[in-house]
Amino acid sequence: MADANANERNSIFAEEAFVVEVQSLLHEIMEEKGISRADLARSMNVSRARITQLFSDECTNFTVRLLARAMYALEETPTLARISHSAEQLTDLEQSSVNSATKVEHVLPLWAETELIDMTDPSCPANDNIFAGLAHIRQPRASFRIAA
Amino acid sequence: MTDASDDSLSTMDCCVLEEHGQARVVIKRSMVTFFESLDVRSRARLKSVMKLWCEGRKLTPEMFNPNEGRTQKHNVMLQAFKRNQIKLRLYGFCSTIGGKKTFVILDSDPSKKQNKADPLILKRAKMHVDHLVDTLKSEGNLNG
Repeated sequence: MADANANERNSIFAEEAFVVEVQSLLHEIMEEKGISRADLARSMNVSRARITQLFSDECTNFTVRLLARAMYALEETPTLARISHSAEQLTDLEQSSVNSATKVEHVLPLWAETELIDMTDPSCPANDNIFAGLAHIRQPRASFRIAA
Repeated sequence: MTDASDDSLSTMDCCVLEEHGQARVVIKRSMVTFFESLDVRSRARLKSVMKLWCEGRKLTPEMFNPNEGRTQKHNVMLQAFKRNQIKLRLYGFCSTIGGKKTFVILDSDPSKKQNKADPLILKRAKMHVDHLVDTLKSEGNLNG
């Protein structure tokens, strides 16, 4: 029972971590490009309320399709990556982030794989939080455009 | 929750909530019980946002309010981590403490009924900030 609770709690922590990463990434791109939420709604052909919902705490109905549409509207191509994590790393997600306070140099994000990936390789996205890495690996779609 | 690991945090009677690189978010020990009493999703959301703050990432207005006004005595900018779903704000200020960029959470507005901040709680939070800045300055622990 305790394991089930811990697993549920960790799942919620993983969910929220990903949601705030995505919201922050979209916000960052919009600021970079000077795009307002109203502009984004128009480009995505959705209502302004839908955009508000997308950035809300609840973040309900934020589908992969909507994310793809948002990235397209922002002239970006999202790139997905995955990094496996071990069961030990998942033991207590909440506690691990707290532990980082005392040994931050040695603690990796829970979704980072420490054994299989060469952490010294600078091109490896696992050198930091995978989601934080999204900001650097996203590719401007504009470069693939064919001139009219 | 981790106990303070440097002298300046001990002086402030704070615990570390989140830390990444050279930045951290700490909370007044008297507020720890309140923070831990929040539902799991709220704690998860707030801690995820704090992690982004530590990483220096851009935060949306739904996550963080960088300007809740300045304190009267020391003119320190009050800021707040937000959890709109439960109308919660965690008030604090940012400074370099013990050589690290530190956000110190000192007060909260847990029963906010509207988006506008409660002026009484805001005033109380600002007084807490001024009091803490007094303590830190007297100990010589505050830079910037």
